[in-house]
Amino acid sequence: MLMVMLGGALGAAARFLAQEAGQRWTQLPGWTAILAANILGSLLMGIGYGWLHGLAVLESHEALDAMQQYQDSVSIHEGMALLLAGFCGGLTTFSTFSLDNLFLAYGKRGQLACNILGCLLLGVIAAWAGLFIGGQLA
Amino acid sequence: MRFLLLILCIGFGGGLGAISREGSMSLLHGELGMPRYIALACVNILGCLLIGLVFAFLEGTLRRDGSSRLRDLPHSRQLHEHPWWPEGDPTLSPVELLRMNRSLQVASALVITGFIGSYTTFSSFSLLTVQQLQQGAALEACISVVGSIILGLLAAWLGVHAGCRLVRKP
Repeated sequence: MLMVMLGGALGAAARFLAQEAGQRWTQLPGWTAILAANILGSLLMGIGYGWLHGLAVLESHEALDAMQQYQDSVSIHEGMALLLAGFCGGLTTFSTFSLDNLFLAYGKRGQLACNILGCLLLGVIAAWAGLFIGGQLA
Repeated sequence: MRFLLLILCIGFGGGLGAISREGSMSLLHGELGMPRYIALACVNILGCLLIGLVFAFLEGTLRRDGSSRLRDLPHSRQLHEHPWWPEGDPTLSPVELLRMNRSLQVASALVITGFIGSYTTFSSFSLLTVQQLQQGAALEACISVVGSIILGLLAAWLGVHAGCRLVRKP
């Protein structure tokens, strides 16, 4: 519970910083910051999930001589999974994405298409690449 | 100092949002037994409805300097009965305008960017889509992606509409 909360707080703050930085230092429209945060979050989620998943698979194959040690590592990994869910979930957002889409739908159809397709395609590719990288790390 | 306060608000809201998301997911997916992708879509769509509602309500109530983004949306027709729409409220002094803008900043940091932004998620959505594609469940992936995007957009539309109506009549 605490891990999810901590992760969510850090993720949301990171998303806010990305938005502010985008506004202050670039001329890009506001939705690009959310796009970037969503893609980055998808990549991190993929890496983290792939890595933890890989570790769990490895563990179940290795000899479990010290049961206590195994349980400790499982709880550590659970904590990391919760932190990951909190952080990536906080960093990425679907609601602001939809609200941006609503604004773009009135008069900026080109940017609307870029936002939706970009977020979907790049998000899925990022998550896929992340899973691959995470699997290699484990 | 101001920036730090906003970050703290966002962190607080974001923490609550993340917990609520995990809670909703375990309710919908765990207790009610919905498939994971439908539970996630429900959470995201609910978040879209809420963000539209809260955004329109806060903008309509607290932004009186005539610079509201709501002007770009046809929903703002509903606000035309208000004397201060769309050019701003001439009866308010600059200090009051500034104070209202600051309240708006804090409220939207806490609720919109923090809580609702963290309640909905894109990362689990992409990860789930990749897993569905890897398992060959292309139909489910399509339903999840197209449904989430279209219903999310509709929910945001509906939320803004309702939010504009909630702004108190003069």
